[in-house]
Amino acid sequence: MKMAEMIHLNHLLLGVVDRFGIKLGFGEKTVSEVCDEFQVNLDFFLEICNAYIDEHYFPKVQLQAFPVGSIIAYLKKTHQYYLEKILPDINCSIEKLEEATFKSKPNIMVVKDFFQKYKEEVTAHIMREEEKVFPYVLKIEKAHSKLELSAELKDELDTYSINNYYDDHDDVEEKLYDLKNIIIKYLPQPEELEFIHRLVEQLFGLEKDLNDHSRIEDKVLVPKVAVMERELLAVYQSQNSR
Amino acid sequence: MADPKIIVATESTIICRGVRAVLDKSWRFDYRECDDLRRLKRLVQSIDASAIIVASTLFEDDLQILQFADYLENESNRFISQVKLSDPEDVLAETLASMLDPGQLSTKDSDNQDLSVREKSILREIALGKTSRQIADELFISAHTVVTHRKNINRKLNIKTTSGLTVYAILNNIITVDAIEKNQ
Repeated sequence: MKMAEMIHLNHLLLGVVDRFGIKLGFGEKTVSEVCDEFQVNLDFFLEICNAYIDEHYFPKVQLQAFPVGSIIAYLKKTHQYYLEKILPDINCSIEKLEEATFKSKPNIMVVKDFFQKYKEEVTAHIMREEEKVFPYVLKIEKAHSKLELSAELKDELDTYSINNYYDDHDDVEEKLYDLKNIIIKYLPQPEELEFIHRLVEQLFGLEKDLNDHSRIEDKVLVPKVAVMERELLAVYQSQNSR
Repeated sequence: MADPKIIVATESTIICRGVRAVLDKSWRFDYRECDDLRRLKRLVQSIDASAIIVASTLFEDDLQILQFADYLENESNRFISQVKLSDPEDVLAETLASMLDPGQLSTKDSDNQDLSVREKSILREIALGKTSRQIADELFISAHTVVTHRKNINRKLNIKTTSGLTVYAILNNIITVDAIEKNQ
């Protein structure tokens, strides 16, 4: 299949393609040729695209066969995309809305405030993943490849363990839902409709993207790491009981 | 008031889901499910169900159906009605409604989702950042009641987070930004 055809099929994939560092202007090249050119693992790219288009498609096993490093690299790219693109874009929309508003400026300010807090929360969530979770996961993978658990990493494993990391997705998702809902139900004023529409569309886009992102974290990364943790612990115990 | 309890007894998941989907359109019930006759009898004895819906396929023959109907009538003085799987939706709903005490039915009136005065005053306190315990103390009600009100507010507005509720309260003039800031 040609890369261009794939984008025609679902233009939302442009965001995914972008995160792999692939630029537009594919000409007649196939998906596989483009991936080669940009040094992207074809199978990994395909699985991510499939998972993104169809939320029921979930090739857990295939995706779990990829090294943790490539999954994390992808997750980091999506983080960057949120922080540098989507969130600022939404912020910009709210500011435009604020400028266009006459009667209900205080209302917009309330929404703006809510979004600021939401943004801070998402940013904190992302930072925690990048600074704590991902390095930890990579250490586990490295230890797992040698089947050797150092005492130091054992301590870390005992205190953290991957399952404890991922429990606060829900709140971030619920806040976003509330924000959308409030804007749709309570905010619109006739003269601002154009801006409101754009804003709501962006929020729906962000929601879809975040869902996809946490699906990869919850269904692929966490189980994969949990298995490695268990195996490492088993090795550790058998070594120390000897 | 607690929602009336209904037992749905069938070995078919699809029928069970289907019955619930039909009833959920108009009313709120507390469902109990069960898939064999012995457990059904135990359920009937242990809970005070407002209605029991049993699939005839659960019985071996007509005689067993009659016996069970007798058993129910003796046990609870209940009326027995019959519906067919091919009956349209409204027949099923109407048959059931006719069997129930109208006072028991809490209808899902989707038009009336406005907050009550009490709910508004609780929402105000939530927006001020108070906990359920604090709200209970101030309004002289139990914490449990506050939690129930909170759940109803969440359901009516379809807003789940406290910060979302705060925004709603401000936009709808239930509280002012100044009041919130003063309280912080």
